[in-house]
Amino acid sequence: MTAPQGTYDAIIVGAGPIGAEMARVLTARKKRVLILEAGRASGLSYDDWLSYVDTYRSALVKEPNSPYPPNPNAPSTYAQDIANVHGRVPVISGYQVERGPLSFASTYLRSLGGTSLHWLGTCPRFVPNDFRLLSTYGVGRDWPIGYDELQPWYCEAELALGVAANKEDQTHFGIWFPDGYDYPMERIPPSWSDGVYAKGAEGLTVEFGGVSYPVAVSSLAQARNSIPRKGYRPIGAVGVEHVGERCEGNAACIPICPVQAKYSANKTIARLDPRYATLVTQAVASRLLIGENGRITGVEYKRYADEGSNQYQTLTAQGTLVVVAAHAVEGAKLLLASGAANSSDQVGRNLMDHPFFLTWALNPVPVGAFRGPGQTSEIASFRDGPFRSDFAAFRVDLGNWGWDIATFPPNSNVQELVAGGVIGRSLRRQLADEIPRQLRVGYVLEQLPEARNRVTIDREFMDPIGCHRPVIHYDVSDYTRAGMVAAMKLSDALFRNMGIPPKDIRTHFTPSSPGYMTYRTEDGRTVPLSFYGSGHHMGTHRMGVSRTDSVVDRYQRSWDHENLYVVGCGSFPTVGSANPTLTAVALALMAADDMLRRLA
Amino acid sequence: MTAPDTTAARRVPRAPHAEARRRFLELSVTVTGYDAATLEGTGMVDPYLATFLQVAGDGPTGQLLERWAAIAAKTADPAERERFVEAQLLPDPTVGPLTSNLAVLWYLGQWNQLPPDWRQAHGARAGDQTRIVSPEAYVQGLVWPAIGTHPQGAKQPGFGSWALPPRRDEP
Amino acid sequence: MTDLGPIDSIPSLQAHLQAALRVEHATIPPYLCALYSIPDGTNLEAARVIRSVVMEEMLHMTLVANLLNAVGGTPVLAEPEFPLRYPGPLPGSDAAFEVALLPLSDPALATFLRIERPEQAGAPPQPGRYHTLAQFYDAIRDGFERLVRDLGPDAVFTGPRERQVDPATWYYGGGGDAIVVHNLETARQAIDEVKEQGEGSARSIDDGDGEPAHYYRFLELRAGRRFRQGDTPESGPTGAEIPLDWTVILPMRPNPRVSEYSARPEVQAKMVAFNRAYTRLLRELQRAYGGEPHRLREAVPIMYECRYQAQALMRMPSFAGDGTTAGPSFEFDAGAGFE
Repeated sequence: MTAPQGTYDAIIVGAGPIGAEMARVLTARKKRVLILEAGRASGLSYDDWLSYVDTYRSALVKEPNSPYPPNPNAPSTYAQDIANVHGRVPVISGYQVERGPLSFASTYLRSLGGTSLHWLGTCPRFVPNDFRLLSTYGVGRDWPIGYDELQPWYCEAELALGVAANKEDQTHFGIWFPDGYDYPMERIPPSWSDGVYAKGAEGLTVEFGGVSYPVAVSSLAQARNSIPRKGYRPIGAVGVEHVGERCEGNAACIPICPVQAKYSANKTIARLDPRYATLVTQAVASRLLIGENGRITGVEYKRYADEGSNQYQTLTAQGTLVVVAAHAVEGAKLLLASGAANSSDQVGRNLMDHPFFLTWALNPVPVGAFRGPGQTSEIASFRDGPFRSDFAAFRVDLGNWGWDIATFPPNSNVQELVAGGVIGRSLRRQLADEIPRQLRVGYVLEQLPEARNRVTIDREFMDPIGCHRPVIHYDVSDYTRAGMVAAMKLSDALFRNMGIPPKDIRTHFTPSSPGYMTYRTEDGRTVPLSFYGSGHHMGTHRMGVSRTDSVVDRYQRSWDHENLYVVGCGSFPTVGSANPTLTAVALALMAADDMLRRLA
Repeated sequence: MTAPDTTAARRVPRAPHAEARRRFLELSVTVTGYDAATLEGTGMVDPYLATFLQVAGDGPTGQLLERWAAIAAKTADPAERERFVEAQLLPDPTVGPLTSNLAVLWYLGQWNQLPPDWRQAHGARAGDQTRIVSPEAYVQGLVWPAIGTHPQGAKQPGFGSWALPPRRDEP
Repeated sequence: MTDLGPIDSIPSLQAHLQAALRVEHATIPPYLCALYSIPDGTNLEAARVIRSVVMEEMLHMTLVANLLNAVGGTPVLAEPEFPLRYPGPLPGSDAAFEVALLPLSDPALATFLRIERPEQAGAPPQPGRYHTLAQFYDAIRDGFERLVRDLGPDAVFTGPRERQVDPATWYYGGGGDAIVVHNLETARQAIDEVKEQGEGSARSIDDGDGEPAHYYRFLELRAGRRFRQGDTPESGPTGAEIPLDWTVILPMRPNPRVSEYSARPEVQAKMVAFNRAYTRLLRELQRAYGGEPHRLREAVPIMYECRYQAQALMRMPSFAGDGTTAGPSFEFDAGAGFE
């Protein structure tokens, strides 16, 4: 690697999907771009990728970051570091410092490609009311833009990520598509178990607040290679393009697709035009330098040669425009450490995730658990509706991998049976009898922006090369907890309609369940709940119409620094119930377009 | 010319080792419920025997195989063999944990750290850590065919295969 | 071996194309045996080379099926006589050499080089008893040209369009794009694609797609080196070394047959299971080439199933007890159920 020379049209901090797609757009228009990536240069050859696959295979706990070895100089949180807080704060065992009262249960990855190396690839659009929650339902905030304005950028983002879907399956709650448009690839075939759910949901309605909501199963939009439509060529693995041109059903999208059939940003980075793009890895942006007129005059970064040593050089890069695309947590940290972009005092605040609630049961007959991508169908019926004045919207993921993170099959089953003295043919038969019948329903819940949920920094908590570790304050409000109670009501109705006897509905929560908490209902009952992280860190540098209460404008330009863009899921004012990457990429493409206008 | 003729017959293992291997395979058949050909087809018989010899040690492994040989001499009936293993091997403080570990190793590719009492009695070896013993061990785990599918992240079944009706493992 | 005779009528053209389908298919089991004898995760480069050739051979089968469908024929695969009995000469050839089911080895590579041998300059087209496959395809090309000239294109290209496998339906693993055959020009393209991917020529290493043709890729493996820019057929490969660990290759006993394993019923049952999956695959392909192209999708999971079963067989001891292992026999099994 050589040190970058001279001045760039743009410096992009972060080689995840947002930074990569912006770099693609800018370099295609011959703008000179420097990309600074904190982590290692992962996934730029297929042999390198296969070494991660082997690490995954030999990992005892196959959590989202398990294929990617820890990098002390650009640390990431590993799921096994996340523990329930139980009133003992701070929790400092992992990379992120938990200040409570609840643990922020999500992880992300600091490596080339970012968290897109381990994401699932789910790509629904936001519904129009997600952009106007306050004016429609009296809660949360409105966005500075609406669905109609973002719509063309959604089309671009779906092409960039390679989304497989049929548009007629996706027209939920006012989502519309332009005439003649369709997704680049046909929808991923629904799994056999999706069919079981669809049959079970036939004719089902659930009532909330006197309104009856019909329940419908529909196909899920996914950035995963499928049968291409007119002229589109699926993008396969880096270095061996004919591998991964279709999803091969490895059933390991999280944490790693062995054939790279799902979108990962390393695929975009590998295709950047080297005449215009300069990539520097193992370069942790540590400070934005601010000039007298408020312009960002440089990006200071720490370059380490070796993951095994905390030796580094401090360097500075200069660019006309600066883009922080470093992830909602890391980006907020960088702004806070630089004293940048924070005249509103909103940087780091309004941290949101989609708390992920699970229910699980045994179907009377096998559904073929552990086959196909993590999810191929959803229930979108509760993504919008008048209930949103009272409780959180949710999108329902119908899992294809048995009870998955609820109980960790099939390992837990084998261990329990063998410990109970079951071996041989009875072991084989009992595994065959139960696991293929496992059903797991996940509920991706909306969370409202709250100033108290935040990322901060503290000189007490630093990493080996002297950068801040994130310090997180996090709670889940009653709005979202009430949404979980509603999800439970839907779950009971759905499982009953599927013909599952009560003894085979196995959902249960104890104080040792991940994200254990309770909810007190209006009639005075205390309901135990539990949630997981969705890995959707959002809200920490929100966009708005006013510099007094937002960090960036509609183009994700900082109100405080005219040449600084702060992009990604951190810009979301509210989060609906759609997985955020597609929307973040759409916003990023809109921002890149604005940059091109300014660089012209 | 650098390419040798790999079609030539391979050397057959030496007799004492061959006998231990034969017993180990036979015991594995009873403990897993899969036939010998299937176990051979995973390629894991030799690596797993090596794991036992390294991690549990020659002595305890030898004891396990001798106790097994006594059972095997009594009956060839698979169900009876299974009952004998349940009644005579599993409750034993020395060979019981090894028998359980053998089942878990075949099904998950995972070695479970032996119980504290066992480690006290027979010595704790460096490899006696709860771990997946190798990437291939995970891939060849028998739990996956048992539940009618393939290991997550390996033996990919191809585009759209998940839409087909589930298949049942046929013992 | 019956002589296929000259190509002087539509029925004789169809017979030659059906023979070509058998030939293309007959090369695949030997390649697969070599490929599956390489344990996963080892010898990645060699595995990639062989895999790329297999993928192209599968494309060739599809191209030949398109040619046969274009002239009103019906590809037949699902019958006991379709698979070659190994070892045996390539169907319709002059029987100068036999192909066998072998693990990756020098004899296997020697056979592959014979299969893909380039046409010598001036070698005449040979509709039957051909010496190289290139001569056979030259004869088929001549046949197309002659029949179109004598009968007119409308009398030759009578097959229904919906039987053609198009590029959107055929994608697997990068063998290249399927070519829809509906006139002399597309027929020539399809034939040239099969010829050039396979044998290249004695003058050039390139297959026309910027990659070395199969023949030269096998030369690379045998020499343990890649070709590089400037190399010629005479210089041989002088580029980067292809590291090959021969010690890990699974020692499959050559040319396995189910009938040899009567004394090993467990292994025999697995060989039968493989053959049943293989036979189901032939049936799916026959349906796909017989007017239901979307069935190629159904065939893919069966191909993978065959692969994992074959890899397991190559680790099971053979009946001989000499350290060799069993293997897939690629025999048609009339008892295979429809699924």
